[in-house]
Amino acid sequence: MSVMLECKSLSVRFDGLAALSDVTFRVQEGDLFGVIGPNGAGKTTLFNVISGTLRPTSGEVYFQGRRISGLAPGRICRLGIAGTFQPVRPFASLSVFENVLVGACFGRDRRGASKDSERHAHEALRFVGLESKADRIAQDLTPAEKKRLEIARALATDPQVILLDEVLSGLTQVETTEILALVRRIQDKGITAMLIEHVMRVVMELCGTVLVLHHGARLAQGTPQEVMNNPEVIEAYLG
Amino acid sequence: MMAGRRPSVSFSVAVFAVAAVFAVLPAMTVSYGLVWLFLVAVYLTLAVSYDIVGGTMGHMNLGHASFFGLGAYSTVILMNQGLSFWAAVALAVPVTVLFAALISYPFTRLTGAYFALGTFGLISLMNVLAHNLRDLTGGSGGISTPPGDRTVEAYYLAVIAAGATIALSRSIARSRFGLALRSIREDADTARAFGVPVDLYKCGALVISSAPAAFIGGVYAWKATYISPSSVFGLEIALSPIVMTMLGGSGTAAGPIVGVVFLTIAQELLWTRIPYLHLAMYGVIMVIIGLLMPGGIVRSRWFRRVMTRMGMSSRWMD
Repeated sequence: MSVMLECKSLSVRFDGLAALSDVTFRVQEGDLFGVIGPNGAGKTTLFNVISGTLRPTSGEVYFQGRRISGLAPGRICRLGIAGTFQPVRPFASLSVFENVLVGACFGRDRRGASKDSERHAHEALRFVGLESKADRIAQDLTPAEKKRLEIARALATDPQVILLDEVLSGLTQVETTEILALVRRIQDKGITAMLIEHVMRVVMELCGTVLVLHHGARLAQGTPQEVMNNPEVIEAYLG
Repeated sequence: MMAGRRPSVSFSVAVFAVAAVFAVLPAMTVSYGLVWLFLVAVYLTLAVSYDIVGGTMGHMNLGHASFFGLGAYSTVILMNQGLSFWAAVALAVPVTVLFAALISYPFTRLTGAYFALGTFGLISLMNVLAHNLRDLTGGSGGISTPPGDRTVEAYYLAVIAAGATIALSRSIARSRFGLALRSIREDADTARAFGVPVDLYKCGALVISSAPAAFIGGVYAWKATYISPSSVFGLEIALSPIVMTMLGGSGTAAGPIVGVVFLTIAQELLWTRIPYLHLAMYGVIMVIIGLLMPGGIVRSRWFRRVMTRMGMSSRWMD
């Protein structure tokens, strides 16, 4: 196991408000790394910094030992980090297939032959179980299907790290189970996953490592068991 | 490049039939009809090239006519330097494309209404320049080319330009570039996150759309033999192609074509049949289309049903 992703004392400030302060952690290759914390803890901010859509005020992000903070988001995507959005942001009037094709055409490492883009897009759709809806317009999908679509678009970029921002929020029990199975299969493919989640049961079941953020700072990190028994975490969640 | 459905045979036949009719028309029609068709082809070229940026990329370029006017002025000025029309227009197009490339970066920083208003201001700027650079443009009095009747040649050139622009816009729509432009239209930040070179492609789309407009501007000036600031930078030429595109269905392949054909025919019928109220009626027609078919004629259900039955691929209507 090697270190896939490393954040070193990341801080993000918006006009004096600290969204993240001095956050440091490592993500091991193949791990399912959970990020939890109350609303406003800085979870999505953290993802935005990793994906490059937000520049940290200070600190660095390293991907496979290479510094990526400061690179353009498209560059980071091609290096192998792709994600989903919360709330979902599919290209609304494009078809499901075209949505995924954007990822396959532009988000993959350029060394691959461009003719393969359509095949990669189809593969990603098949993987998430949306193949039969390929010609549908994205905005006509159900919320659960939109989440799958976002996962497919990220997978089409052939990522090594996938960032899943609340892929389970707003889903029914059955849909949650299905997406959970999908997340497990993504992990089985050898893709390292980072997961923002509110449902504690999911985090306890799935994740190998959990990072707890509170007011933008790292409150705790460890196995789900360790984190749940941490008095500070209990304080933050119940107090 | 998307799912490879070929247009049906009957539709291809229809396209050839239309082309054949256009080819033999000059031998049959009176010159008035030819001049009218020439203007239809000019509007078609402007509308279809406008829609690469306005429809596919979703940036309403109200200043598209500035490329038309620049192409027209450049052609006339160069012809007056002793160049043939062909040499003049062959220089006027690159001059306009260069201009488009220079303005593309600052202007594509803008989005939505800001882009529309910014580009609209571009026409005013060109207008002021045309009025005041008298030695070059003849000021408000306009400028003439060497005289000559070029109705038939200009007609053929305009029809070819319109056909080529439609082909260009189709090939863009089917390419990776077109897919990227549509993803930018939907959500530029998400497109950027997935590796789409947003800034470069936005500039590229604007530059590409400027070339047909510049060429047709040159042809227009050559045929008219006289242009003035108001004839090439006026509201009519600036807004008509855009209004026609929107009423036809902006962002679809058939939309600008249907809009131009329908509205120019409506305009023609109205002003010959209803002498005093034709402009009011024209306005009423536009309001009715806008109310009943908010996505444009092409996106309305009856149009799709009729066209699908006639064998038109749904690709032209999406």
